[in-house]
Amino acid sequence: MTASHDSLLDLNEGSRPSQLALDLEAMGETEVSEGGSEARRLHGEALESARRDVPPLDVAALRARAKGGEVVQLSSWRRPALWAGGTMAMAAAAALMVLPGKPQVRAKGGPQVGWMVLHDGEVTLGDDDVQVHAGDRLQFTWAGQAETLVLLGADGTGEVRVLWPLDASGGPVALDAESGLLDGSVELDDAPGPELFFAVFDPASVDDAVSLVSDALAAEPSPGALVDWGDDRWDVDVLHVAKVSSD
Amino acid sequence: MSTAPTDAELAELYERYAPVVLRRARAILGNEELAQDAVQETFAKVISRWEQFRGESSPTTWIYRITTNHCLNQLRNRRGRRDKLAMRREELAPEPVGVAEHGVDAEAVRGLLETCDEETRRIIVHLYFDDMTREETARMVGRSLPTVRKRIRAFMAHARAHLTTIRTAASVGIAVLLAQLAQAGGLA
Repeated sequence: MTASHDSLLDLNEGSRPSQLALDLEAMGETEVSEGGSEARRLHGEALESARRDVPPLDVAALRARAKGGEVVQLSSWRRPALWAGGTMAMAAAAALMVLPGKPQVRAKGGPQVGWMVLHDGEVTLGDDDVQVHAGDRLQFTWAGQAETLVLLGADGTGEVRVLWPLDASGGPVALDAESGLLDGSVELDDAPGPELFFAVFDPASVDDAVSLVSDALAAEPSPGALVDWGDDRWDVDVLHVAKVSSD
Repeated sequence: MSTAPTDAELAELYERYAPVVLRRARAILGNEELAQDAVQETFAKVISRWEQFRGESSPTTWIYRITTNHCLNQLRNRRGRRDKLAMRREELAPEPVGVAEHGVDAEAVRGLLETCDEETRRIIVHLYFDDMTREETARMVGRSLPTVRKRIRAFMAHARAHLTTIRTAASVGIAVLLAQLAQAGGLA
C-alpha cells in the first residue's frame, strides 16, 4: 500500500477491489470481477501464505473455548475457571437463558445487566430476593441493543470503581453480541452498606461513564432513588444488591 | 437445525475460512501469535453462535465482523503494554517510529487506533487494513456515508496532531540525550 502527499491513509477510491471483495471472490460468494490485478495478486499471495500457516484444528479445544470464553484476569476480578467445578458453566448457561437476571421483575427499556453470585461453592442467579456476603463473587451478564458497556461498582463509601472493561485505559469495549457473560468476576469486600452496580451503555468514554455515575451518586444517595434514576434512562441500568453484614 | 456444528462441518469450515481470518488478523494486528489466536477465537464464536452463522447469507462477512471485534479488543489491550514501553523510551530518546515520509505505516495506524473511540477504530480498520471504499465501509458498519466521512476527517486531524507530537517529542528527547552525553563527556 502506498500513501500520497494528500492522504495519510491512501484511501481506496474504488480503483481497486477491497480485501473483503477479494475474500468474497476467493470464497466463491461473488463472481470474480475484472481489474485490480495487482491487488488480486498480493491478496492471493497473502492468502496462500496464511493457508500454509493456519494452526492445526483442535476441535476439542475450540469447543471448550466456545463454552467458556476467554478470560482476562485483573486484580479485583477472578477467572471464572476458579469457580467451583462445573457449576460455573451450568450457571453461565442458565444465566444466558434468562438474560439478564432481573427483567422479569422490572419493566425497563433499553439494554440491561443481570448477575449471579458464587457463595459457599454454590452459584445462584441474582434477583431481588438474593442477598450476598463479603467474600462472595459476582459475575454479570448483559442483554439488549448496545455497542459498548462500562460496568461500574460503588459500595457504601460512595467510591466508584471501573469493573469492566478489564483495562479501563483502553476505553469502552465493543459488545459483539446482543447478550452475553462479562469476563471475570468481582469479589465483594467487607465494606458496609449495599453494593450498587451501574451498567452504562454506549458512553463516549470510560471517564464519561464514571462522571455520569459519580454525579448521580452525589445527587441521589439512596439506592432506591438511584435504581429509579437508572430505570428512567435508556443508557444506564442500576443493580442494587443487598449485602448481609458479616457481624 | 442443530445448535452446534458437527466435527466434520467444523473441519470443512476451518479449512475454508481459517486462512481468510489469519490473513486479515495478521494485517490488522501485525503480530503472528495474536493473529493465530484470532483464528481460534473466531472459530470458537462460530461454534457458540452456530445458528446465527448458519443463517448468514455471507459467511465471509459474518466472519469479518467477529474477527474485527476480536482484533479491536486486542489492539485496545496492548495499549497498557505500550504505555509502559513509552515511559521507558522517554527516559532515553523517543523515536518517530512508524512515520513514513508521505504517510503512516501499519504500526503507526495501530498506535493511532488505540487512542480512538470504538466506532472510529472500526471504520479505520475497514478503510486501511481491508482497503474498503468509504461506501463499503459505511455498509459494513451500518452508518451513513456522511457519518463515515465525518469520522475519517476527525481521525485524520487526530492523526496529524498525534504524529506532530511524536516528532516533537523525538526531537526534544534526542536533544536532551545529546546534552546529557555531552555533559558526561560522552561527546568529544
